[in-house]
Amino acid sequence: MSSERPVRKPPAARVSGAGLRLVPGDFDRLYRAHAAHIGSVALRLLGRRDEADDVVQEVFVAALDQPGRLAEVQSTEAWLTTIAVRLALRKLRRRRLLGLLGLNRAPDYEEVIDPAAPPEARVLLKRVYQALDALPAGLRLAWSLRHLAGESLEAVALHCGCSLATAKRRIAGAAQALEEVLGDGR
Amino acid sequence: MADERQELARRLEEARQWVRSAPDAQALASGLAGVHRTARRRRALRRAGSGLALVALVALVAGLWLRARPGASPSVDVAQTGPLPEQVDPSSGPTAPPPVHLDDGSTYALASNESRVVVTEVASKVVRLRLERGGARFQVSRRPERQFQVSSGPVEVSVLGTVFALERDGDRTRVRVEAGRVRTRWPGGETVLEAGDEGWYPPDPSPPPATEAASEAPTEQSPRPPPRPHKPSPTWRELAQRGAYRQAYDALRATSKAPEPRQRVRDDVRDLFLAADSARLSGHPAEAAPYLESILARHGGHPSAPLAAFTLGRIHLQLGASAAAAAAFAQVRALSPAGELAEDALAREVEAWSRAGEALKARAAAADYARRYPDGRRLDEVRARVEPH
Repeated sequence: MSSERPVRKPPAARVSGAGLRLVPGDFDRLYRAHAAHIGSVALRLLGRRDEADDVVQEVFVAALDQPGRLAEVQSTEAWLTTIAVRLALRKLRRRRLLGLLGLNRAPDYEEVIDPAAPPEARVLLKRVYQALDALPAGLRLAWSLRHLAGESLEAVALHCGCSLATAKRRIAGAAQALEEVLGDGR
Repeated sequence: MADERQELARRLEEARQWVRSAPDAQALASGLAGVHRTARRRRALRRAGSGLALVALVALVAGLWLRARPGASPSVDVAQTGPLPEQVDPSSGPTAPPPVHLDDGSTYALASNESRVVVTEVASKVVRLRLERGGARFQVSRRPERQFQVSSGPVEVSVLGTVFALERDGDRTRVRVEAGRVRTRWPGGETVLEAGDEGWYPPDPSPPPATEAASEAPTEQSPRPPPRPHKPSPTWRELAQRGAYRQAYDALRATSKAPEPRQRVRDDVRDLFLAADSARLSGHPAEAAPYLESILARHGGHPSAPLAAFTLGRIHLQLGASAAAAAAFAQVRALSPAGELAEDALAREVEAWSRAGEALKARAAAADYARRYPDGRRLDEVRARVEPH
C-alpha cells in the first residue's frame, strides 16, 4: 500500500503590483479606454464642466502615480470611478462651504445639457441640478450615481465606500427631498 | 407616493441622456497630454520638496476639455475600448463619417454628421450603445457569450451577431435587419425581427391602410400582457407612469364613457399632463390638446403651466394649426417671461407665424428674439426664417 503523503501545493502567488512601472503606451491605452466614461460620470455628478475636467485629470494623474494598484485591482474602470467619486465628493463639499459663505458662483447648468435636448428635458435637468445643490454631498452623490449616471446599487455602494444598505438609505433620502421639490408638475 | 417616484424616475431616465457625456476625440487627446504634463510637474515638485498643495497646482493647469459647439463634427463617443477617430478605417468615403470599430470586433457607421451614438458600456459579457439622434448601421460580431444592445429612446434592440440599421425620430425608431435576428423591445411590447424585416417602434396603434398592409413584411407583434384575474387591471395612470402610453391611451378611451373613480382624469396638473402624454406619445396629438388647455384654463398659475403651453404649441404646429401654435408659444412667455422656456418659445413663435404666412408678425417676433437674446442659440435659425429668399 502506498504511503505517499498528499502533495501540498504551495499557496497561490498573490499578484503584487509593488515596483511596477507603466510603459507610456500602456497608460495611453488605459486613458483612451476609460477617460470618456470617467468624464461622463464626473460631469453627471458635478453638473459643471470645469469641475468635471479637474476630476478627470486628477483621476488619471493618480492612476499614473500608482501603477502597482492598477495591476492589483480587479476592475480598472471601477477603481478609477471610485477615485472620481471621492474627488467629486470633495468638490461638492467645498462648493457647499463656499455657498454658505456666499463665495460660490451662480451655477450655469446650461453647459452640461446637450443643445439638442428638448425643452422639457432641459427644464427638468436644470431643476434637478438646482435641487441637488441643496442636498448634503453624500446623499447627492449616491442619488446622482444611481439616477444620473445609471449605476447599479452595488456599484453605488462600492464607489461611495459604504454598505449596500447605507447606499440605499442615502438614495432614498435624496429621492424624498427631490420629490418634495420636483414632485408636483414638471 | 411610489407611483410618483416611479414617474419621476422614468422622466429622469429619459432626460439624463441629454446630459453631455464624453468630449470629442480632440479633447480626449488634449486631456491625455495634460495628464502627462501634470504628472511630470508633480514629480518635479515632489523631487524639489515643494509644499504647494496639489489642488492649487490643478487649478493652474489650462482647461483640457473643449466645449462641444452646436453643429460640431459628428459626435462619436468611442470611449470604452474603441479607437480614436484617427485610428478608424481610412477607406471610408470623404463625406460619410468613418465607421467606428469596437474591441469586440463589431462596427457601426453613423448615417450622417448629425447622428450621434454613445458607447455606454463595453465588457466581456455585454456591449451597450445608445443612439441619441439620427441613424446608424451596426455590424455586430457573432459572439454567443456576449450581448450587444443598442437603445434608442424607449426602444431597445438586442442582437447576437447581425447587421441592422436604426433610424430615430423622436420617441420612435425604425429598425431594419439585414442579416441575423434582433429582439426589439419597447414599453408594453417586444418582437423579434429577422433578415429582411423592418418596422417603426413603438408601433403605431392605428391600423395601417389596406394598400400598405399588403406589401409590408410582418414587422410587429405586440403581445398584450396576460390578463390578471386576481388583481384589478392597472389604471391608465399607472400605465402612463410606466411609459406604456399606448396601453394608457387605450385604457383612457375604454373608460371615458363611464369611468371608475380611480380611472377618472383628476383635475390636477399631474393627471392632466399624464393624460396628455398618453394621447400625444401614442400617436394621438389632437386628443392631448384638451388636457393641456385644461391646465392653462384652470391651473395657469402653476409652475408647470408654461410647459403645458409649450407642449400645446408643438401639437398645434404638428397638426398644421400654425396661428394657434403661435398663440400658445406667446402664452409661454406671458406666463413666465424669464423662464427656461421663454427663449425656445419665442423662436418657435417665429416659426409658427412664418408657417402661417404672417410675414410681418414673424419678422416682429424675430426682431424681439434678436433683441432679447443677441447670443441666442437659435438666432441663426430665427433669422433664416424671416430673411427674404
